[in-house]
Amino acid sequence: MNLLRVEGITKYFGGLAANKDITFEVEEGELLGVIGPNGAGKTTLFEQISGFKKPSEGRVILDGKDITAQRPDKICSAGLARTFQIVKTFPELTVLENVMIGSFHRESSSRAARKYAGEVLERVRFSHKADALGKELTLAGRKRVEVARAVATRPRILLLDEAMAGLNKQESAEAVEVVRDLRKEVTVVMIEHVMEILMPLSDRIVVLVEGQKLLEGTPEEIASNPQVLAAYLGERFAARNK
Amino acid sequence: MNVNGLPQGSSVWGMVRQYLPWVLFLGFFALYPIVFDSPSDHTLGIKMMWFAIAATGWNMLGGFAGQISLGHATFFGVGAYAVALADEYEWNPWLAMILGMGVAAIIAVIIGWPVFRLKGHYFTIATIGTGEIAFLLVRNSEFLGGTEGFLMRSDEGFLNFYWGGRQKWEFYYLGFVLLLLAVVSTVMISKSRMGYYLQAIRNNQEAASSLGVPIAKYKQLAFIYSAVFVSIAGSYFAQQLQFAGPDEAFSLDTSIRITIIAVIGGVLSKWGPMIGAIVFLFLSEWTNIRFGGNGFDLVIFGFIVMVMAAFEPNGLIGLGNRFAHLLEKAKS
Amino acid sequence: MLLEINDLKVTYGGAIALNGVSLNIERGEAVGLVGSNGAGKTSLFKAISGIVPAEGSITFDNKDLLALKAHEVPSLGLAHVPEGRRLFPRLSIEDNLLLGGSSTHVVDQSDFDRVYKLFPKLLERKTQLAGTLSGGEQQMAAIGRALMSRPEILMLDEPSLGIAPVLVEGIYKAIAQLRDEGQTILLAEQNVMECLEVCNRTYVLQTGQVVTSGPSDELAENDEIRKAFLGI
Ligand SMILES: Nc1ncnc2c1ncn2[C@@H]1O[C@H](COP(=O)(O)OP(=O)(O)OP(=O)(O)O)[C@@H](O)[C@H]1O
Ligand SMILES: [Mg+2]
Repeated sequence: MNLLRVEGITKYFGGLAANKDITFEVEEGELLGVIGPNGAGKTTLFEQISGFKKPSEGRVILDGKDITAQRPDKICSAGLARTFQIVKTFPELTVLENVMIGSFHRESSSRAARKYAGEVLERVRFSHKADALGKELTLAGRKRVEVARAVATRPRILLLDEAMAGLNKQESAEAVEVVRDLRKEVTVVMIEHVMEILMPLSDRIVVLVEGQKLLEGTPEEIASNPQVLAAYLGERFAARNK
Repeated sequence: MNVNGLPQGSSVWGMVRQYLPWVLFLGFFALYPIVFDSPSDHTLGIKMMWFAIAATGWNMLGGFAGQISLGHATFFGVGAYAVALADEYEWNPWLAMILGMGVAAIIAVIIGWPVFRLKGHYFTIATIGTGEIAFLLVRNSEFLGGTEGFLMRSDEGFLNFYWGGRQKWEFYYLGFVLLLLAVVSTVMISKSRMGYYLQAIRNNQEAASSLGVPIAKYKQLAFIYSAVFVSIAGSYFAQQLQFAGPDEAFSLDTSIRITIIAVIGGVLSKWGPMIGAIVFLFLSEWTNIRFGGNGFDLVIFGFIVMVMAAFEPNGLIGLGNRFAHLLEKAKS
Repeated sequence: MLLEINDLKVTYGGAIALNGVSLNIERGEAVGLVGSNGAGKTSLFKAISGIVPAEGSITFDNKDLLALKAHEVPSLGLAHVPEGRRLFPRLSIEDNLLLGGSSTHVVDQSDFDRVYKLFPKLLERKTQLAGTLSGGEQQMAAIGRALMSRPEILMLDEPSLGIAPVLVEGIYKAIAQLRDEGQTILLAEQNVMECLEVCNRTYVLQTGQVVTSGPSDELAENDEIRKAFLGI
């Protein structure tokens, strides 16, 4: 059975339809990539799935239960965690404390929360920054904290919104390894504009364009689709892939 | 825990940093009435206690959770009037104080429900509103003594929560015990899940809720905690003065004093409210002697708060930390 | 020399972010900065803009920048597009752009036209509040705002961050075009290839120091440098 089902989601901002009748499913254990031009409605979709915005129409079903427009913390308890594209690090807390806020979700004692937060930092390869304050981090570092915090809530499904942006070649390769490791235990839906990261990781990719689902398919299908090349990937990608 | 903003240094230095504040705190307050032993010094010490307790309570909401309330006089008043009514109807003041704590908690829940829907400045303005409503209700209530309030006639002794005479060191040390209770429970909370969650809420509410923090519930808990301790301070205040009146207990003036003390001391630290209370009282005594007791002290404090807000939002504790940081740098 | 940086040091608390960086830019040049995360690119930008205190010297057009305050820097003609944007969230795109230009000169329609030609999306949404834009749209608005000030030096910190691949091409074409029009540019990038392509000269930063620098094509052709520093 699928773990997450998005059913006919539509979202209007005034006259603008940021999402139009979007439907897709995510299987347990799968990694689903989401791509689309800037402003296509990817983040808006995540905001509705995670309870931060109320859909104008449509439903979100997590593991058979309707979670549409529930409070974000309730949705987190139901097993869905997300990161923010425009990062929201806790600036006055250390990296470890940032992650502890996540691990407290399943651990009530500080000792256990600290221990689990440490383990998560280890897994996302960010332990060396454990004692740095949130406000001292680079953007890429903040994004890593976003991931660690979300993972620390022990979700069944994790939504990553451009969590791997701003990395160079080697760092991107490392990020791919981190996500590979994470997905052994958690289902992942991932928005990313960096194809070197997204393509090798995704089992399937959904393409949004102007608020609508243009198509859905394997990375190979997507990479060779003329419409996707024109609307999103561009000539250079096409040239490189030949 | 980074509430104090203390960077970790070498281990000896770290130990000093961890325990020195406790030694100073316990030492200063324990020795104060012995070192300063005139009756007026003791009265000042007692005032210091009620402000320190109230500001410590306020700080759980205003400092840790970052929700600045200017309506906490309501809870101070509840505590004060609880024991005043007990005196009027000859109940036990201790029981009345505990009852007052319960009433304060209930009022916090009732006020919290609407005002926590507001954020930032709107929240602060709304608390001024609730404070003024309570003030007017009390002033216009026959049962609550109207504009006059209550003059009390407690018998002496521990069970009656009253000591007469001129020295009043008993009152002072009772205040010290209550303050210790407030500080220790604050420390315990700050190290628990609730403490971390409140800091997360202060730092970024959306991020906190995405990580499963029920924002409204934790703000409400912080509000209840702060209301309860401020009401204890109110009971202590009324017992000691043998008086509870609306202008002293319920007014905006009182709310502002509590807030200023915490802000001057530094809202991100458990020690801030105490430092604030000490500095506040000594400075306000000094201005009262120098300029007469007509609220001139508030002018000075308003000025200090402005300067603090501009240069060191974390108050005197923040200044102290900067200084310590410089020392550390100079050492290495 | 339009911008001359000598032996620049930046520290945060105890941590050293820049450790003696020297760099210079001639008028009309496009200069690149590459290096991994935390190598010091962003710190260098912040130091030039006066956002963080620094030791050493920065002279811009014969003026000592370190003696100035952050808000005095833009009017000199340095426009910084910070990583992570920093728009005024409650103001419209149009007002954000207007504010970007009005500290240096009287803004006229040609300033807007230039930005809107580069990013037609911004014209389409000109009354939308900046805080409600998508991540990529905010990035476009931030670059647009910097252009509005007709800067002597345009400083771009990771302009392609969060931008869709098709548009990344567009942004680099635009940067190349600005360069050809004589705009002086300082560009920090993780995308080494793109950076080398568009910049005349490039500096490679590692842990707060310049480890190598030179004309971009020479760096790109040198196998040792490619392996050791560029990872391409
Ligand atoms: N509150 C709002 N009011 C008006 N328009 C909005 C609002 N929020 C989002 N939008 C618009 O909806 C569209 C979709 O935004 P969204 O953030 O979902 O895009 P995205 O696909 O995540 O883009 P990016 O890749 O740039 O992050 C954008 O054009 C954005 O400007
Ligand atoms: Mg987005």
